[in-house]
Amino acid sequence: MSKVTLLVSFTSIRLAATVTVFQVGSSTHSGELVVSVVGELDLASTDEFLAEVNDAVGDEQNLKLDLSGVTFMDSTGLGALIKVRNRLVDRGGALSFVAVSAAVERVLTLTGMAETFGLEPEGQVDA
Amino acid sequence: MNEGELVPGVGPLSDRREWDVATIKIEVPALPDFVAPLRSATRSASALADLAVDDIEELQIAVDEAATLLLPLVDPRGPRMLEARFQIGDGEVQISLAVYAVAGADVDRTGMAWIMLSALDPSVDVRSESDCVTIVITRVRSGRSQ
Repeated sequence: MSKVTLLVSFTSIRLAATVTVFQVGSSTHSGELVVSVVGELDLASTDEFLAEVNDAVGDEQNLKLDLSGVTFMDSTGLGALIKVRNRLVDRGGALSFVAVSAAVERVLTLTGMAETFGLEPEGQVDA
Repeated sequence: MNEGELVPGVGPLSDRREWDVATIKIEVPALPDFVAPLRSATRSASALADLAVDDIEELQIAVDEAATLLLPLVDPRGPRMLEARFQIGDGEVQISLAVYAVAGADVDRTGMAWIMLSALDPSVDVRSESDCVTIVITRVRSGRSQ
């Protein structure tokens, strides 16, 4: 048996544009604003997420988020969700989820925030 | 398909590979955009160690959170690089993430990133040596004692 060592340097490789795929889209269903997020909600994309959501929300009080297309989320992504929720609650509104991916559910469960966001087991959300 | 088989009939990776322990070192710019490649490398290293899917996904989050904790500590006068070292064994991966940090800098243990990291790896180790801060994460295949 042998030991194997591999040294890789990304110093001169421009990977950022190819590894982060992130899209936010908004629509209105039955008078309710729905924002859909696809991609990775992490340190690199959180600012863009917040800017896009703020633009979409405008003066609305309520927002539904479809996070079924989120393939990865970390604590900064969770922090962004909390910011959005608190902003809406402060103006008498609410944030709710249309659907969440397993990646989102994992983080919400791990941090004990699932109930705060009305999440039930297996990615189901309160009506 | 038998336990440990990635491809039916091929057998577990641990029966086929020609090495006991492998080390991969990756160095990326200490910037948020380059945390994603570390997550990808984590997935690959974990698969080589035959970790379970849940282990792999949790380890990716742990590495991401460790990087999130280290990036604010980076000394702007230093090399501004984030080094990841993956030690891959059979059913076990140890990942060390390190940056050159400003003098006296320490990991923030009060925020959500630390809460998540320490929940994912209760034995996470933080080492501060001279101008370098290192976070060490270990994951053993589910069902195997550490």
